[in-house]
Amino acid sequence: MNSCLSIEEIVLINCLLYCENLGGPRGTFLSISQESRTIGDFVDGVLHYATKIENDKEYSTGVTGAEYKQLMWAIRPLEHLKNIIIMQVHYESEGAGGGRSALLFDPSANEAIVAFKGTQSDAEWIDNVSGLYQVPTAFQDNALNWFKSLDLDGYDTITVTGHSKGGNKAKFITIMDDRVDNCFSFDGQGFSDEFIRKYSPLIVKNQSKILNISAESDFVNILLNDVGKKQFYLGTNYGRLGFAENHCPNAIAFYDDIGEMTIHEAPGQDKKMSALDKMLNSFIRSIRMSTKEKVANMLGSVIVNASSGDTDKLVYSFSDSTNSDSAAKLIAYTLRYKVEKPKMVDSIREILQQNGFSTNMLGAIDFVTNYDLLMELIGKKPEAVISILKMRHTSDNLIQFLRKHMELFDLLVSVSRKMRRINPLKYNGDDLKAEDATIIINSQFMISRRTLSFLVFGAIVITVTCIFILWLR
Amino acid sequence: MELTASEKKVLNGISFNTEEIESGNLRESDTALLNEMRAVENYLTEKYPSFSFEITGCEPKSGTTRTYSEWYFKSAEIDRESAFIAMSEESGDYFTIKDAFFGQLIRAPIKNYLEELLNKATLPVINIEVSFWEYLGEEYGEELSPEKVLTGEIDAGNDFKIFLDDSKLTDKDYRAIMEKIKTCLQSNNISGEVYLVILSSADGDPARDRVFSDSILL
Repeated sequence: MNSCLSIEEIVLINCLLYCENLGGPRGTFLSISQESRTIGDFVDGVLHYATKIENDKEYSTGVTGAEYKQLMWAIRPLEHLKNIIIMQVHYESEGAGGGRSALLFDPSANEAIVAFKGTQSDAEWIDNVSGLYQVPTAFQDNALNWFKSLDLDGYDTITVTGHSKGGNKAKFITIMDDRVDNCFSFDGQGFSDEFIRKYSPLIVKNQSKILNISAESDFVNILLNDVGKKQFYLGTNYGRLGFAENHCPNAIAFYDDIGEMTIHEAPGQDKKMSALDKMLNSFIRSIRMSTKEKVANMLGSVIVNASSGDTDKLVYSFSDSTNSDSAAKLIAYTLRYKVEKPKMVDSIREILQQNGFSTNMLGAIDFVTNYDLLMELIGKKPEAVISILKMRHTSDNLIQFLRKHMELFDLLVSVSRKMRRINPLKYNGDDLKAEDATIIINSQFMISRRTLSFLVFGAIVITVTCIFILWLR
Repeated sequence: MELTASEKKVLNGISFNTEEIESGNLRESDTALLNEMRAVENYLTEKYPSFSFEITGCEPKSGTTRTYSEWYFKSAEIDRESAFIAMSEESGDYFTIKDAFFGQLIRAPIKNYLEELLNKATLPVINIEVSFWEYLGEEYGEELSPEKVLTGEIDAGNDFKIFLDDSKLTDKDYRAIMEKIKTCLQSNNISGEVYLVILSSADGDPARDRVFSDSILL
């Protein structure tokens, strides 16, 4: 990797991408009117109207006006970063979920920096999970098409970066376009097994250019298979948004007394996140390709509703007719998985506690869910269960909640039945490596195992057909 | 409900309910998004009757700190890689919509006028780029007056980027040149913000051959 950008600068650029309406429309970094200005011009402009920025207001998910001002002041003394020019701002014209990106130019190193913003709306998750069943996704393709349309001749170095979905786009472009020299994917999700198998020769060729920068407790980078090197950083854990804050682009930025921003390498990924990563991988591998789209949509819907904090919507996303079968699969898998790997319960308990949820019920749930027959019995006798809970002086809130969501009892029956058919140890939870999906011939020529199997199959079909024709003659 | 192919595509990009969208049997949340999308499309068509539009994407407000959704659109009459954006905000039974497309209608006359002024002031202009920070609503349609925008009577957030040729500048005092531009534009009642970029030569690269750049507030 030969970029002249430091990791701190990469983090700051990715934070800038999210600046929207800081003190007015001039405070939007990804605005076409910013073209030709430098990052320094943008920062000076924002600070010029700093009094119009409300300290307590969230200007992008999890980042307040006060935090953005802190960020701007941290950039002010950084001459190298300030001199970077915003060459082009792009609003995605084909991707149905929108998307913004920019071409930046570092004149001191003749380096082009192509940066992709991750979208922040709930719609982000539609594309995040579509990577489970689409290879490549529409958003990845659109990003690559725009990248290819850029005139990148004459630059000594080409670097791509992005946060979240933007990080995934950056990795995708690096894999698909050999011109890229460096890729810094910040909290970006990975790729499906199908993707790794399909593009394994390209991945093997270009993965050394990719560095994944992630907060140690970030929950987006754990999705699917990683490509490239990984470095985890300590998170600031302000705690305002709880667990969700681990994915904010400023989550790894620490400031000293004079406002200088620093980041600190973590020894590794948070253990509960790596446990969750493995469980998700093995769960996804347990799903047939034909049902992956449904499962992906259910997963996305659950994540969106969980992060909104709306319990009714969350319950609905589990129990409505479109999702209930997939949701039952996920719950059944998680419950069976926890029997084999009990530490998962501790991880989930910790995540819930960080989010401010009460975990008092987990002990009882943990016990009941070890016995699928007991669950089925409970699921089939909702009124009896509610009566028992009443006799046990269970809180009115819980009783009301269960009465309001009687559909959860049906879900319980479905879950318990599925639990009997699941063997969570059947599927490996480790990330699939491109090297394992590739055959190298003569240390030069690479072919994916998938392509090779197609070729071998094709050869067999042709051979059998020829023999058959000859035999007929 | 009947949906066009492009409506289905946009909705599929912002909703998990693929099957319902395909069949037209929309859920309440998707019906609301479709109504909003159609309101934006109607707004654009009525506001700019000489143009045709297609909504290509959306970043809904749901899950963000924004109070409005951003709708990405393109026009068949404008050849541009990047989409245009319209913002829609729910106000009771209707949507308050603003867009940035108006810039396409007034950019050229404003650019020509500025070039004329600066050439008269003997400034070696290479190029002028005109853009706007603000989004304007339905009251400013195809009849939008470039003069009123230039003078700030209509606040569109004028932003002018002026590129000058350093090789033809006799005076290398760039601060003095900034002042000269400011005086020239202010004396013609022009309001907004100027970003001055001085390039080493007329065919210089706007980034690599930059010798000076700074902002001027009018």
